[in-house]
Amino acid sequence: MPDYSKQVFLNVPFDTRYRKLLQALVFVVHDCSLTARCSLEKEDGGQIRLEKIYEIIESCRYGIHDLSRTTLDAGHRLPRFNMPLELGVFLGLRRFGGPRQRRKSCLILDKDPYRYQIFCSDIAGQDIRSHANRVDTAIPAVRNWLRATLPSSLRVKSASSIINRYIAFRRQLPNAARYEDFTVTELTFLDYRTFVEVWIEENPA
Amino acid sequence: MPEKRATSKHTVVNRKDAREALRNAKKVYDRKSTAKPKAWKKGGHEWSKVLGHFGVAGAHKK
Repeated sequence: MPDYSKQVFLNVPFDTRYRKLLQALVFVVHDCSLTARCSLEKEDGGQIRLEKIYEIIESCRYGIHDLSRTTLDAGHRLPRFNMPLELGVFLGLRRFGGPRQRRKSCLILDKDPYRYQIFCSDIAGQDIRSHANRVDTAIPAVRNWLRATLPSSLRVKSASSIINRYIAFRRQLPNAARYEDFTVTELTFLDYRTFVEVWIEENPA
Repeated sequence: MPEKRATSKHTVVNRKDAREALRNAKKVYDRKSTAKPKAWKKGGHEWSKVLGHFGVAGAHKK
C-alpha cells in the first residue's frame, strides 16, 4: 500500500508538446522524495477511465493540476475540459472526504499568471503559479510549492540544484534507454518513472 | 555508446534493468566529460599555440 502522504497526482496534458514539462514534473516530484502518479500508469482497458482517476486521486495527498491546455481546439473551437474536471474531483474530495482526504493540498499551474481568471475565476485563492511552458520555470514553481507544503522536517533541495540534477539525468537518459532497446520518446510513463527513481537512488544529493 | 541488450525488445523497464542501463550510460557520460579536447579543437593544445602566436590571452605557455 503506497504511503498516502508521499503521493502526488499529476493532472496534466499528455500530448507530445507537453511531454518535456511532464517529464520535468515527474523528476522534481521524485527529487523531493515523493512519488508521481497519473492516469497513464493504469492501462486496464476494462476499467472506466474516470473510476481509475478517482482511485488515483483518492490515494494521493498532493495534486499538481495544469490548466495551460484550456484553449480552443482548432478543429472544433472547443476547449478540453478533462483537467478542470479532475481538479474539481480533487477539490471536491478535499471538501467532502474523510479526515485523511481533507489534508489534501494542490498546486494549480497555468502558462500565464492571471489567465485562469478569464475561464475559471472560482479557483481564485488556491495556490496558482505560472510556468510559461518552460521547464526552468516549472521546476522552481513545483519545488517552492512543495517546500511550503511539505513538513519542515523533510529536506528539499534548492531549485537550481534540482535543475542541475535534471540536466545530468537527461544527458544520461538517451544512452540508458538505448541500452534497454528504447528511444526516449518510446518510454511510457511507468518506464520513465522507473528511470527517474533509480537515477535518484544512484545519485543522492 | 553503450551496447544494446542481446534480448528482444522489452515492453517494460524494471528497476534492475534501469539500474544497469543507467550505470552504463553514466560510464559513457563520464568518459565523454573527462575526455581531453583534441589538439586542434578549440581549447586544445595546438589551438592554444595558435592563439599564443597572435598574442591572444589564454595562450599555451611553455
